[in-house]
Amino acid sequence: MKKVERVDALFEFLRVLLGIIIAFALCVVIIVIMSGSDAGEAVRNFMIGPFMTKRRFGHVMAKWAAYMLTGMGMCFIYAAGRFNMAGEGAINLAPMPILLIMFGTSFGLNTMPGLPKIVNLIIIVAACMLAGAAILMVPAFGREHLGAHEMVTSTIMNMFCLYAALWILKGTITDRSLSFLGTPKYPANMRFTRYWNGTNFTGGFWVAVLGVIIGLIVFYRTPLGTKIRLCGDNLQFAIYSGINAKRMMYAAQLIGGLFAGAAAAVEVFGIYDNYYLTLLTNVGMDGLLVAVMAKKKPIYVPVTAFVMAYIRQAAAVLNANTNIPIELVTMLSSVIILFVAAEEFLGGTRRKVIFKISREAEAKAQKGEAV
Amino acid sequence: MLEYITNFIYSLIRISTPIVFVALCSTISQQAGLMNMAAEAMMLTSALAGVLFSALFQNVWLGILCGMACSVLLALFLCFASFVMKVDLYLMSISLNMSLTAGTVFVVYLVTGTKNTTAGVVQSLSLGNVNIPFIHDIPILGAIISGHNLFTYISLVMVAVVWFLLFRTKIGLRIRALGQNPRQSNPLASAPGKSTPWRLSWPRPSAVWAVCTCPWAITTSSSVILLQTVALSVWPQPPSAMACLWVQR
Repeated sequence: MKKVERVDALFEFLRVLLGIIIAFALCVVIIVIMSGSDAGEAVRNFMIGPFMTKRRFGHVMAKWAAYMLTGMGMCFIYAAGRFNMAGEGAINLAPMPILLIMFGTSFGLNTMPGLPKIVNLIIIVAACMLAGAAILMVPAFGREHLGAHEMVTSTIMNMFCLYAALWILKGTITDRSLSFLGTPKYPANMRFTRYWNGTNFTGGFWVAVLGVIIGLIVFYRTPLGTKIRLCGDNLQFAIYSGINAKRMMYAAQLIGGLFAGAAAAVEVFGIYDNYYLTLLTNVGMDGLLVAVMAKKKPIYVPVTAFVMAYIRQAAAVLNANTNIPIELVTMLSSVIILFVAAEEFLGGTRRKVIFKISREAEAKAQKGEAV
Repeated sequence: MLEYITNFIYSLIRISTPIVFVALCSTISQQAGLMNMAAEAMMLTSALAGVLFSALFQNVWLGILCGMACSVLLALFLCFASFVMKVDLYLMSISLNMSLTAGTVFVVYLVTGTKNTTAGVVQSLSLGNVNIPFIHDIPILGAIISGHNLFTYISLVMVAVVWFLLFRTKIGLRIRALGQNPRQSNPLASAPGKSTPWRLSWPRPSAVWAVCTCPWAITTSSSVILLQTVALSVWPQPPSAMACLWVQR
């Protein structure tokens, strides 16, 4: 059996590797055809563009942090067999309570600037996490108590979150001296430090790393994680073995919300100098893609999150430096996702090889029996 | 005041037309036990293809046919990706949505040189409005239900057609059986991955609603349509597609 498993793992590795190589080759061919003269430049930008300067790599790091958190959250929700996508809207709405405190109360205006930075950041991340959890609880409540499909309600929730955030912003804490809709600048000790001389690589990355570690431990090494996974794998079995399935569903979506809120904190208080989001950021949706690409296993989330961040940043670099429109690159990134996620890619050969090995082993065993 | 009310109900019916079609699409795939999240991508593609091909051939029906063909192709691609290549269905749908939201803009950019609109560059056609002979003359009723785009009337016919397809034909029975229990319906065909309903359940919905969406969808906000559709597709019966008349607004 050992040999079969080894071959299986080898094919899994080959599948992903070949998938990525083919997808990138395909993308390069299309880019060369579309861009004409400056083909070499385009390919160079697309392949190694994100690593060429500190600034660009900072962008990758910022996206990586956010994708790791949302991807991890989606893994929990997925593991419970739910499909709550309100994490997308949580990025916009979850920072609102803490922003209201920061710019609307005497505690935020007078006390918080005097506090040490680490305390402020803990307050910010905790508030965002709680708000994110509260947001994801709405579709969860609809599903578990009222029977409304959580995918539908959470999709609609995203639009609600966007406009609710804009409404709150407009009515209360917007800075009237700005020519656009946004809050005043965050005070220096109420935001994540930018590293590398002001790039988007911020202290929020450590929040993401911490989140991934905690997420992994909870998912694989605690009774809570095991129960959640059990509910997703086989609901009937979970119920008959005495697990309170409804509570586990809530718990999974609550954890997902906490992660989405943390991602919101990292995104809003890391990349931006003030809050001026007027569109959905797509971080939540990309987090969903990250989770599915990781086959819903949190252990792979850091890797797939990096791939995703790299793809997105390559698209941006290519758009900025060449005459290739960003739309084309966005299309190509879905080709990459297709090849990475295609489970039946090389499936025929894999089965053939494994069958052959198994038959040989069987024949050997029978011969041994006969002798 | 009376005119306001009749105008309001008239526009209610007018706006809900594309939603009826895409709701029918979702209803069929929901009945087959699948959630067609790529409807957004299919609509966008069909809409663009309808506009471009109707301008190319200067024939509105050919344009519509090409629009339909495009989203059937897309549905087949989705089938291939998720049933043959075993990509996660949601993953593929979402990435299709994202890529074609961008892709349609890219094609518009290639054709017209701007990213905003095809108006002015592409001489596309559209189906005209239809006045129903006798009803047109009835005072209030005539103003409400007459004078709509031809697609509005087609959409109403399509509701009945889809109901018939799902509940009165063999293929409909298979689709529903498969949706309720994929394993139980194995006797109908050899394996779930290879049985006909699995394959047919995808192209058909798109064929049905792509009829409509070509010239229409480009004028309406398609994300709203998707939301409404998904909401409606939770209800199993095709006539519920009619309910979007009331959901809208």
